[in-house]
Amino acid sequence: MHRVKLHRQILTLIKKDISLEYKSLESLAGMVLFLLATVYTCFLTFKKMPTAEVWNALFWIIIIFSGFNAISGSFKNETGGKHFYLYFLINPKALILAKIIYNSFLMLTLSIIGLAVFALFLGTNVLEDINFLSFFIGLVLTSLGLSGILTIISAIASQLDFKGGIIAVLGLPLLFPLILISQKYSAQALSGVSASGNMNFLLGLLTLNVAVITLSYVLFPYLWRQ
Amino acid sequence: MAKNWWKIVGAILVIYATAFSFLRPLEPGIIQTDKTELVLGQNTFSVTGYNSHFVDYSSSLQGFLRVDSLRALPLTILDIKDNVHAEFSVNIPADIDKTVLDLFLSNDRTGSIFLPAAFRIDQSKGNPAASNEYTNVAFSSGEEISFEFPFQLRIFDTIRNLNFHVPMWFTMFVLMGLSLWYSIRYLNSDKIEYDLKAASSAKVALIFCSLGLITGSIWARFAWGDWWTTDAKLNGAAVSFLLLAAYFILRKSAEDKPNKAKIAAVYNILSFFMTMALIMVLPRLTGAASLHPGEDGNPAFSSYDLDSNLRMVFYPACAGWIITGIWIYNLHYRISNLKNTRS
Amino acid sequence: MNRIVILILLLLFTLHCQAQDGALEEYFFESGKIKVVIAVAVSIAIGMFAYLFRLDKKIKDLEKNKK
Repeated sequence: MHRVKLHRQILTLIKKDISLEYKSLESLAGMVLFLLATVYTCFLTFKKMPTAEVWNALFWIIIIFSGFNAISGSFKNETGGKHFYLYFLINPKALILAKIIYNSFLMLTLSIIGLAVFALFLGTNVLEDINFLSFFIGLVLTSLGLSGILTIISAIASQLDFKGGIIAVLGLPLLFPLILISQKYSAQALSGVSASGNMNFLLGLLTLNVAVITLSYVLFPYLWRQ
Repeated sequence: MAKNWWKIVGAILVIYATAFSFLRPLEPGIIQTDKTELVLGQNTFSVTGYNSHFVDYSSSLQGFLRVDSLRALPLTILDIKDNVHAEFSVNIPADIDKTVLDLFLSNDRTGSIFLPAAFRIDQSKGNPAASNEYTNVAFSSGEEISFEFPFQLRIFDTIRNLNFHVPMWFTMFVLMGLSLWYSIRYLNSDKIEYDLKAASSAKVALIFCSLGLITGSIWARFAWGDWWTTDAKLNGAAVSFLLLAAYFILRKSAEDKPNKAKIAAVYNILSFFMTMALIMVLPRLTGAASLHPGEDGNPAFSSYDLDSNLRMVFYPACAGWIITGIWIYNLHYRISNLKNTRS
Repeated sequence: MNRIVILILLLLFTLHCQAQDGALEEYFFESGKIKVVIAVAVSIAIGMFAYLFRLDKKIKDLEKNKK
């Protein structure tokens, strides 16, 4: 089994995650519901429609917390008895890459749903000048970066006894650079700047993603082989 | 004793820098004037100087308001109260074409000292005199003093804080780098001593980080008016503090796990690179204006507007505090090592 | 120990509230803000001594275990 190529292993692991998710749809529904509830809270607490600046800030804060909610449990199936089974079968590098890819798709789905829910409750007047392609590229890259950081943090937290509180303490400060860049990038995209006109932030996001994923890729095997 | 020479060097450097920071005088300058708005015609105002020797060198005291690079309005001295307080009068002509004027004073001791944009002219008020001739803008240099701290507006004496506040951050960076180095070595070798070294240096880095935050906060309050400001450097400071603190919370909650040291090392490496991303890359990217010297989002300190005098104290202060930080780390490591071998 | 820290924080907070009146400004701005430098140097000294006390306590614990 060790001979199996890395990308085959990754594909198999992603398929496994998807089928697990599909079997228990309530966890996915829970994430979407969390998103809905937080956006509705914002809707309730704002008397009038927020400005583009506030809209942007709120959007990213809600996406971060949805990310924590969605990704924090991503290693719950890999600990315990199954862990030893997987330990012998699977290259840890395949496991982390598979998790990051799967989680980034999850994040992307959540943030697109988030965008729709935002438009529904907090109004579309902010989105009038938006450059959709540019905004979408930002969403994709941020989802990748978010899932890169949060996956390795949830791998760390999965080895601890009380996971609930600690993952936010460990993860939030690590997200500062990513969120700062993507918030600035999407503010530009909201005012209609195209992706090529926003190259500085785009390159920043890309570099950060490469750095985060490389770090996770290099460091995860140390967590896995106890 | 032969092995301890570096500790002595560190102590001497810190003592030298601290003593120098307090002993040497500040360059002369103008702190403020009692009014900021002048009307056309005759005006009187009083000036508060700093180290300005108004009385000591009263015979050579003179001043003007600079209109542009060539023309100036001469001041008449009304009264010299003491070395730092004096009263002047000036005649603003009706045909003045500038609304913001700089104040210049000079005497043989201080040379030219000035307050940029000291006055605004309200052209709708006052009754201007018939005529007033402009004089030329002229600068003079004072006596050469061997070492003086540069005079900067709003900063004044607190420029001395540079030798206390900034070395805290440099020491923190060195200790964080040390911590990263030992975390990597731990992952490669599995020797528990490296884990202890990484934790000890992170602990001392946290202490220096807190000191940097506290000193910076006090300085910011009295130079810029707020305890905390929105500034790229402060983001870096906040994230280093949060990540270092989170590292210890992680260590505490993983205390009874077999792979506690590995978890901690992985998190430490991750957090180091994210801190660096925030401090080194982001300010350059966003080009955020910084209140700190070394503008243009450039975090490198070569661009600090240090004059050569200040460097004579600043570099020894940094070196001294870094050595002291490493010494403290060494003590911390030896104690935690003793504790570890005993239990 | 914790109580002392909370007390100091509260004191600092009240100091901050009073600062609105400008009393703090007047005190610290006297003659070129030199008192700010002293406050900074003193806070470093306090930090260093607080650390010394902690170190002292740790060594005491070690000595206790030795017996």
